[in-house]
Amino acid sequence: MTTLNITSSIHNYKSKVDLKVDSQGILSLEKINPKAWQEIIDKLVGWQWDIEQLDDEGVTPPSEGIVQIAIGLAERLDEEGYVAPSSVVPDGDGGVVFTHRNGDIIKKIHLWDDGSICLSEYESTSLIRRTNLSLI
Amino acid sequence: MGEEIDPIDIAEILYRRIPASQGWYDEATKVLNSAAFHPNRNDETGISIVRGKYKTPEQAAMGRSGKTYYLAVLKANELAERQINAVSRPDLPSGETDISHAELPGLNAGNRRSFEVAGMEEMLAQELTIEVLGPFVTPNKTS
Repeated sequence: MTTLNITSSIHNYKSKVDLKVDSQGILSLEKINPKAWQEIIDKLVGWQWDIEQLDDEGVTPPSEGIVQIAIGLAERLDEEGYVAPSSVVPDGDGGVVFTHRNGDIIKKIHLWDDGSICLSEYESTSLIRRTNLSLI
Repeated sequence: MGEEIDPIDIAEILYRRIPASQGWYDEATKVLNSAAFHPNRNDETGISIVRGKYKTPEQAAMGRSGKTYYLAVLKANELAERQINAVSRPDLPSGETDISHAELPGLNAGNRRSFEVAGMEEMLAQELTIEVLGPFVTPNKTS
């Protein structure tokens, strides 16, 4: 598997708006993600302050170190102008998942419990590509 | 492992319990995150599901005292159509027996980072979950 510079790997996240054609053929601009990165970062900081909120039956919460990496990743993507994800959730196995939804296209940045990161791209629930990422 | 006892019938309803604490289900948007089906390191033989023929939704959603849960509802026949195997596993790792306990062995600790499992997780969340029930609060234990 290839490890790529994260900046080039998630180039598509840079679009702040998406071109959309409706059934009458009218072209419009659609805001693809109204959520701000600050909302995502605030949620991660909330976990950092009280990681026990994620403790539950059958799941392993992310460690403080993983949450710290997730915050750093979010700040980096924000600084570089990428559109904020629709959601950030723990993966139940010590990792964190950022999900970006745009119609049938779903992109997930998965920060695993060992600190490694991958980008998965789905079309209509079919996983079409997965790329390992590194923070350079 | 011996012969499967009381195998799952194709007509059965199955539940996957979803802890509300993880934020995997958004009630406002009705979007279920595929992390709800992500195996963890303890799911050695598969992720757990509950057989609807043995438990009501309220019973199936019981978890840690005071915590809230949702249930993703699945149909055994639809899982089979997508080649996702569901098996009865009444013997729990704790040594206890629960006739309603079953598993999806294709999603387990050993393959949880695989390309194949990532695809199955998304399919389960977006296509095979016919509805999400809840929230259900597990009552606090009284001594």
